Amino acid sequence: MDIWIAGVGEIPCRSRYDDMDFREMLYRAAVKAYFDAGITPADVDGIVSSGMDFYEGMSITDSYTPDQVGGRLKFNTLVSNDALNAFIHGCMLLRTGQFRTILVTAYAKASDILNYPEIVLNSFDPHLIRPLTPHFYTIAALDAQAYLANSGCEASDLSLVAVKNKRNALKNPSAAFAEDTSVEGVEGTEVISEPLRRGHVAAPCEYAAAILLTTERSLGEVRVEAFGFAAGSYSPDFSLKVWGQSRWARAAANMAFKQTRLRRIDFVEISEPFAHSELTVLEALGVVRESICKSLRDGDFNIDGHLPVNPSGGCIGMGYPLNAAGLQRLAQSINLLRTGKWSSCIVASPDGEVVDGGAAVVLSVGV
Amino acid sequence: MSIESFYEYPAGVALSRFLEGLRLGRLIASKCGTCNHMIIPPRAYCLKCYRPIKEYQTIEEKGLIVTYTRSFINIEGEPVNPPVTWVFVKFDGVDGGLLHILDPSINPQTGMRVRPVFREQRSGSILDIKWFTAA
Repeated sequence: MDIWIAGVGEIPCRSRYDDMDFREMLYRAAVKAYFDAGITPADVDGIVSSGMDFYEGMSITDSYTPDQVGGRLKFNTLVSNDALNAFIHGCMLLRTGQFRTILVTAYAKASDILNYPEIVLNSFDPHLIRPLTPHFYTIAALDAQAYLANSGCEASDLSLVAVKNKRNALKNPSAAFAEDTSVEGVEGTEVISEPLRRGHVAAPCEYAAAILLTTERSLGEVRVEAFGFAAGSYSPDFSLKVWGQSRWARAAANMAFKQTRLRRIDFVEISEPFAHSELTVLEALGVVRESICKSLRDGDFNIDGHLPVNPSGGCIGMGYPLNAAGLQRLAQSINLLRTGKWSSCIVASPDGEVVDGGAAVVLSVGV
Repeated sequence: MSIESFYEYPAGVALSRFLEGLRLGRLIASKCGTCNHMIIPPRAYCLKCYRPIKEYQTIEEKGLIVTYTRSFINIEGEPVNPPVTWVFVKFDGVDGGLLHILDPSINPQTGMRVRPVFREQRSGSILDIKWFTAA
């Protein structure tokens, strides 16, 4: 059963939306998605919302979701982890044959969370990690250091990633942190936790997106080719973590590529809370044959390179919308495919900043 | 209105053995009686063959640094000076490993041999290890 993208709606990423609450943000994104698809809420059979009660500080947030996205009295479910997971659940609902059109939504209202690092700390082992109180940037830095040690990349390569993404974001009206910067500019930002500098970290942003999925061929041009999800070697005490790798991405990509005969990937969109995240995920996806470091330095991942990576600007250029990052990447990918410049892509998104789990989705148009 | 939440987490059989080991100034791993797989922190079941674990062993406390970072922020994201060095340490012949901080007088290197320094007053907590230092 083929699944198509009928419509996409998003509100631009911003450091902060003071004039809207999360329901109003979602409403605006959903209205755009319906307009884009040329259908109304009456045509939608169900809603899949991405949400993390843990972040939002509200229990059972799916009860807050249906009204503003046109989902009253319809099938409604909340899927935790990254929004790409919610998207995959939407696809699987369609494949049951019981639904024709599903709306997938996600939002991030980071400014509502006054102590985010401590919230993240609560996702770690209560006996072994929480008493030590590491900031999650510190955990990410341990991963970055391991990646550099094992890959042959240097710290300046992390700056290359940041520069590429911030510059790509200059062409994206939804980006909040676009900048015509340089390696020297990024290297001049403060060290947070070696080897990570402030410029290597995707700043949190506020964002909402809604994507309409359908089995109705006449409603869509971008096709969902395949998807995969996997948890890697993560454990909440980090004891089983394979540092410097995103093992989930290999498993998720393998699962996805088994579902499609498509072998040519024109560009890659990766949620990268940190510059090294883009490289570890890219390596694990298995879509780059050469050395990642060499390809990066040669410009192969630039927007005009052999395999553009995050041509949208990624999370470093657009802002990191927490669990909505996966839908942020998907929305950008669909918009990029609609330009006619490319015909296929893979989208990958981890389940959080330092979690070894996540999802991958392959999209195509006109193939 | 602000609502405080309170939780209490039992450590379970395996982790309780580990925490008791820390109180005694030892590192305890679990050992599978079927496939001999050892892991720290210990588990109540074998991750390799899924059999229940009945054996716990004190391991050689010298390990090596797998990765490290000098961190300039605390949990609130505020600057800390001097920075704190964090390390992930693995132990010979044992799967898993421990995240902790490093003796600030030590310059970290990947592969450096380190050992835990236990506090004199211990309570059965990961904080019974003051830090790791050069072995």
